[in-house]
Amino acid sequence: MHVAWLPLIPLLPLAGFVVNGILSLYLRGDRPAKGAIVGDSRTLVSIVGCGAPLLSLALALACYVRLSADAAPLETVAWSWLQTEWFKAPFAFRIDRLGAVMCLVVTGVGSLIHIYSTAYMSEEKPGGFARYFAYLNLFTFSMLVLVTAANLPLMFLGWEGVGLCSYLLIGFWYDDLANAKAGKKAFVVNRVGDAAFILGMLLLAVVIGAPATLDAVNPAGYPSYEEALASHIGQIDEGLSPEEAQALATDIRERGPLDFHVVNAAAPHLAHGTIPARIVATESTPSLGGKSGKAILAAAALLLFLGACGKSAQIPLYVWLPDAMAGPTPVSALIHAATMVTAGVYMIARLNGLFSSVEGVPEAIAMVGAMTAVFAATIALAQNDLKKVLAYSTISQLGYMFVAVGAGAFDAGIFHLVTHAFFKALLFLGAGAVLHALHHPSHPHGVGDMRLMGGLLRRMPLTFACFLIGGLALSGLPPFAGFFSKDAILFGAYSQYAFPHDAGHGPNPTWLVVWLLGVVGAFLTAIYTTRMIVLTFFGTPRFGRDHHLVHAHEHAHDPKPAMAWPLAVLMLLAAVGGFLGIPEMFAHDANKISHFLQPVWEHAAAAHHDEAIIAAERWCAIVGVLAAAAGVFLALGIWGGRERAEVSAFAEGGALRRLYVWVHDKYYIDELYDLVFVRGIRGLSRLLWRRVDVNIIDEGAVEGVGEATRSLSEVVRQVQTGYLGRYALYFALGVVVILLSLFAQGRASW
Amino acid sequence: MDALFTLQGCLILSAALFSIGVYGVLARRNLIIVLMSVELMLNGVNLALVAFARHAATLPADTPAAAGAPASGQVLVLMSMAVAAAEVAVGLSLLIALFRHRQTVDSTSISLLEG
Amino acid sequence: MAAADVIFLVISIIAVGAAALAVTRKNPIYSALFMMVTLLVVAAVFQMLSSPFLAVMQVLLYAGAIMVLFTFVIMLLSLRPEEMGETAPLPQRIFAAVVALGVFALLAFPAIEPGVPAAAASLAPPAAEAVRFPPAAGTGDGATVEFGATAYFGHTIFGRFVLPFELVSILVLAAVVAVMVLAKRDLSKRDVADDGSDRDPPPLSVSAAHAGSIASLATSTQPTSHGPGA
Repeated sequence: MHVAWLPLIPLLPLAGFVVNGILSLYLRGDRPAKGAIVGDSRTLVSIVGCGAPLLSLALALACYVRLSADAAPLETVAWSWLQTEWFKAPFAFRIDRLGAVMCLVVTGVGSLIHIYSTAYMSEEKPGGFARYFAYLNLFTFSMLVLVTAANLPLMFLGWEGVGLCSYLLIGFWYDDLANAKAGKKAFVVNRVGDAAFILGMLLLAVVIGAPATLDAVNPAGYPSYEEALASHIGQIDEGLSPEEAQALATDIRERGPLDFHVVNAAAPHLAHGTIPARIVATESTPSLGGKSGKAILAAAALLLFLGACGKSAQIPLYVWLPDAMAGPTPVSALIHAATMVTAGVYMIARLNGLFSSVEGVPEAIAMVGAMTAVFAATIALAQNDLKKVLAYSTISQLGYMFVAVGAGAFDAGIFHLVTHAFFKALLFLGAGAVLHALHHPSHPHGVGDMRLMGGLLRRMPLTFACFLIGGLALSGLPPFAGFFSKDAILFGAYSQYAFPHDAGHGPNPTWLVVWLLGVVGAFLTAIYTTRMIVLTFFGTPRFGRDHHLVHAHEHAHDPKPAMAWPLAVLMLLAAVGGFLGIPEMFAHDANKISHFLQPVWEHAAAAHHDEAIIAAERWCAIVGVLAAAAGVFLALGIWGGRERAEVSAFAEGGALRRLYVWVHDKYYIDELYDLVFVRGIRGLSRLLWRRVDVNIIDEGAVEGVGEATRSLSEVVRQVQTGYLGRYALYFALGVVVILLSLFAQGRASW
Repeated sequence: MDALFTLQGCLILSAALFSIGVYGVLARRNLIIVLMSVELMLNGVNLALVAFARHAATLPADTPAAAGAPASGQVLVLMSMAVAAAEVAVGLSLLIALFRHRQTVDSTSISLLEG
Repeated sequence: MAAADVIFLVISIIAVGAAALAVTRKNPIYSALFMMVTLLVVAAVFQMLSSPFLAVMQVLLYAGAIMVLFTFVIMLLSLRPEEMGETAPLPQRIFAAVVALGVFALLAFPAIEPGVPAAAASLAPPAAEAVRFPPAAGTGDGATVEFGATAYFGHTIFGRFVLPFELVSILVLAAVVAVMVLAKRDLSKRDVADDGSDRDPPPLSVSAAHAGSIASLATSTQPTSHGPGA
């Protein structure tokens, strides 16, 4: 269905960015804040900054309403963008039901965080305030482009845009070198994933092949895609009827090979060898032949997955996310919890046809996700910084989402993405409220060390309520949001083990391992969540001798309305958001989100429910809840009774102490990366500099050319004696040569 | 060989004058004589031009060689004389400038571009 | 062998001999004299080739103006033997002779190529009886003119070739200016440069180039040295 105003959804925040960006340039400088003008400028910036995502939210709601009536995607081609003889990627936007859900999350949670920020950042200078909102709007724009794009190149535009905004916002307080470094680290680690994304995208373009016949551009008279495909129909097996092939060919020609719809439709056929890779051969792009499509497709899928790992902070590219907490807390909530980091999950769900059709890739995704979930959860156990705990928790929860999309439970993955956006944004914003309450001129951006907190319950009851509800949801205890989504994921993994689609091969133990890791992760999640809440809010304050903090603590209070209202809304969502996806075991056909998203998964088998499956689902849920409850009680037992500084149960020495330090220091993975990659590259660069550049290029090539020219010239220079007679001689010899050649020529013709 | 005063005869004479000029340019170091040798070469060429012009006049009017403007060879010779005169004037004044500077007219004494 | 052939043979021998002597004399004044002989006999050949105007020009311009200029410079410099430049070493002279012979061979062999029969026809005036040209525009009565006729020559040069002619005169003008600049002494020493050039007009007006070169010489020499030019 063509909807002309679709581009407005991302473009409104872009307009906000332009306005706020100009304002920030106008307001920048170190002028002290002054009177009415400053107040006005902040109000203006706030209105523009929050208005843009709110308007986009309204448009997204309109999309949602239309889509819930009719699942046909809304789309519009804004203009043609990349177009060559064999490739095409228009600037096209498409919102299907998945896109609508993502838009609602991005604009809904995004708007709440924008509103929250107006209060949270109110102590910035006017220029910084405007700059902050400009970045935030730019981020919203990029994220909306990412989720509304109809093809991979356009998605990549948004993908890079959010990476850029992430960098800008992590280093927002760039006066502190550590913040700038954290931004740089995030940027560089993301580049690794992005490089893989590009390569995967190009491979995909190559393997799907091309509309050699964009009618206007077919100079060489190559066969049209339809013709080429038709000529192969005879050779291919029954997997694809001529009509389907025809439809696919038309799609590729009209939308370009990297359109999501095209990729999802073509990938299964390519993977099974039903259609050959790149069947339109041109001079510059020869056909790749029948079966090679499979291998290239697998490579493309794995590269795209690596790209997703970079953006969604999975092993091995997770190291940037904890450092990204250097940015303002609302940024952490928006970018590094609710939206941007879920882009990888979204991308895999968006390309479900591709990822589920390549053998082995789903298992790899799920395994990486499960390992990340447990690994990050263990690190979160030993962190003392409030935001660091939340950061590792985010990595862990993203791991769950990867488990879901790997297990083919795309709806569960998206469901968890949504609920996670609610409760993790809630937790981050709550943490922001704590930091805001405890901030002090000596600690302008707050103190996040939980060892110095405690006893905040009395002073900040609302914030405590946020943490309580968010924590329960995160731990996966019913009836809060996280329970339903996490349960759906764990069951999705388990059912891959117990009820494989491809029954011929028998149960695949990989999925059992994934499920077990998921349960362990749930247990650990409950522990660190409880520990975090207990350390922050219970007991008595532990400030030691830092009288600044004592003072701050005495004046700590719940946040202003502009911060409190978004918290309240998110609290509600985190509490009841889970009822969007009530599993089959509680009520028949009550899983709204699953039903809503069903049309998106064009190639996934529809879920079926029989007694055995529902029984298994029940067992899974019981195991999950028991694990979480056990974690809560264990944590309460360890940390609950303690009053003062010994907040770490493992801080008492012995083998446990060493283990604790090891975990606390994040398994020294950062140091390992530093050693292998940073120093490795530095060493390699030094080698290239000293040996290759200095010795070979400078001394060899550059000076060598000069030296060779000079010594050759030394030889030729002998001719240049300066004696007139010599020159006359050369001249005469030249005449002789010319005459000789004329003579010879004349002889030949006479 | 019954006739000597033919185009061939004139061309051989002209080639001989030209070659003697070449020898003079190559073998002599006295710049005055080098200049004179150049004049000699020019004269050889002039002679060939006049001979060709005369010869073209003996050909039937429809021959390609006779198709050009009559007497154009002679006009060319006249112009070459004028150019030669200019050349000699410039050459000799250079020579005088050189002699003033170096007290010699030896061509080997001026092997450098600096003064 | 007709009379013209005999005369041509004698003239050729004189020309080549004088030329050879001219390029081999140690003293440039002898060279100049032999050179003048060569130029005069070449003028005779021009006359034989029915080009009387060119013959006159050869005498006036070459033998007259140019060689006089040479002689004048030689006298002016009045070189001592050690100033005339050393004799080139024998190997260089031999090499020069070889190259010159090579040039001669390459020029002469095509000339005596037997494949061009007309080239062997005599160019003496009787043989050219048939040579008639249609009158150039402006010559009047429509009578044909003989090859080399001066009137026809004049019509050609000031008609069809007037543009090249003017270009040559520009070239000559440029040469005049160049000579003035080159032969002038250091411009800062005005007293030397001023002492005659303003008063004395160029003594000869045979050709513009000649006049220019004489004028330029006049600026650089004593007034009393004008004599040889006359």
